[in-house]
Amino acid sequence: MDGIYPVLSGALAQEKRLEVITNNLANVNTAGFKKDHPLFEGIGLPPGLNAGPSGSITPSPTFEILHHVFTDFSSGPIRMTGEPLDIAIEGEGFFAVQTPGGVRYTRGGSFTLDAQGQITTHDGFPLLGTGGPITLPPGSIQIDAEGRLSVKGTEVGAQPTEVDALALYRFSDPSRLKKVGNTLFESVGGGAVPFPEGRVSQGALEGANVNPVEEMVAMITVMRLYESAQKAIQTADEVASKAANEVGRL
Amino acid sequence: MMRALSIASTGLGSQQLSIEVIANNLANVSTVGFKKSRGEFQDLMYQTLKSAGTATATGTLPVGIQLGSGVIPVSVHRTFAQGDFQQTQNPLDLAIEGDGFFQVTLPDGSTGYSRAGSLSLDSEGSIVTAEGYPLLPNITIPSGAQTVTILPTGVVSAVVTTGAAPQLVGTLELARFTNPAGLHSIGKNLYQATDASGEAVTGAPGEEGFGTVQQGSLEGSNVNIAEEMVNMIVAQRAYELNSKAIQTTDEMLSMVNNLKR
Repeated sequence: MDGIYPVLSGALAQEKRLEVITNNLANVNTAGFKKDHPLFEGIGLPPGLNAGPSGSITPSPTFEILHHVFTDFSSGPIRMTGEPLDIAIEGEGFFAVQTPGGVRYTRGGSFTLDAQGQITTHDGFPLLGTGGPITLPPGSIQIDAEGRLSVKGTEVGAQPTEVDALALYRFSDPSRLKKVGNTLFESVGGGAVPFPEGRVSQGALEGANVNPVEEMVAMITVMRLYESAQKAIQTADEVASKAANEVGRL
Repeated sequence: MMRALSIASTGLGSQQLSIEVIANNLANVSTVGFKKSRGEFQDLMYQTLKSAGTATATGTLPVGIQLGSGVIPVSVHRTFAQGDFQQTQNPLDLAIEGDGFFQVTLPDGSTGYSRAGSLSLDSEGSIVTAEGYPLLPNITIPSGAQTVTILPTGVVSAVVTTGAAPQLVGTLELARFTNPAGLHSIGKNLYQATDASGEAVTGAPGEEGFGTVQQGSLEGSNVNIAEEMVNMIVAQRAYELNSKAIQTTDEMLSMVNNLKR
């Protein structure tokens, strides 16, 4: 009966893998979404514990468990939208937004204005500039590649005036970023470094970096491995059934 | 039950909302003054099984385990980009070139805002929208007027008797908002102010950031059919991917059910 539990651990691992794939697929059109990859490890019992009475060592059963989920921070495809407050980050960097729980980081560059003229995310969290939340006077908004925001006022013959610059951040180790939903990341243990060299483009949005082909292939693999596990469990059951019902029959 | 099923269903729901928004844009492709919308999505909360940075016997965990729970629509964002102009030669067809909304008095006495400038006269000579709602401020054209001229600055004049000098009958006023995307659509090409849009700032056409008024033209919708069709294809494929995930989960559940024979 030993064989059935390692196989079951493998089947359960495939269920977890499917959850991660499904979440990637559900967010295939979510701006700024970064896909996750589950990584599994096999753990075995220490051989000593498994030694038979005669000192012979039987192969240790290996259990498959979810070790960690790693987020792939590669850039997603950039598409032009023409919206003045759609901002895509070219290459490295994150926007910083102020949430009630503290500063969070995001690559989702679809912003809007609130009634006071402050730039916010679609859930109303203010986007941070070098001088804190950014409030824009009425007028047409221009953002250059360096992230400097200018507004051409509403008076006749107005010239664009620089209001603020976007505060971009980078992380030496992005794997320390924790997803908190709303396409936001929380920096666990700090490590956010201002990144004024970051480049942005206005009127563009970064899509999710989910590759449907990759995810579909992973999904097929999951299903087939699950099927194998099911067959293996049934085989182990048949063996046990023979032991229980047939061995010892005269 | 497998969480994958509910995750995939959030994906289906979001893509369906996307298609609904696109369908509404396409349905209004020829609606005067219509402004297109776009669905915005975000990932849902994460279930943290193991936090990165947790202390272990040998140091700290470099990465943790977080499982996402799908996607959620966060807003349907309206885009107030300029639509195409159509020449109609009708003296009471007005297009706004630039920022601003026409103000109309709604039957309940509140003010509605609109970009649709297909106007006409009612029995009293007041300029009204196609729905019969009077413009604000109300402008009345004297009966028997031969021609009505509306200047880009919104000055309305009429020639009452042939050969006489045109007489000034009123001035149009436009309204603009800090955040037009926060306006509340009430259908019939009308919007109402909300706490999100901010208070209306009113002024004359051509002044302080307000657009100018063009007589004899209409502003069409700003829907771009090619763009909407591409968005529709993208949403349909995403829907399909999520339905495949449901199918896979279902097959896996069926295998579980067949485990015990």
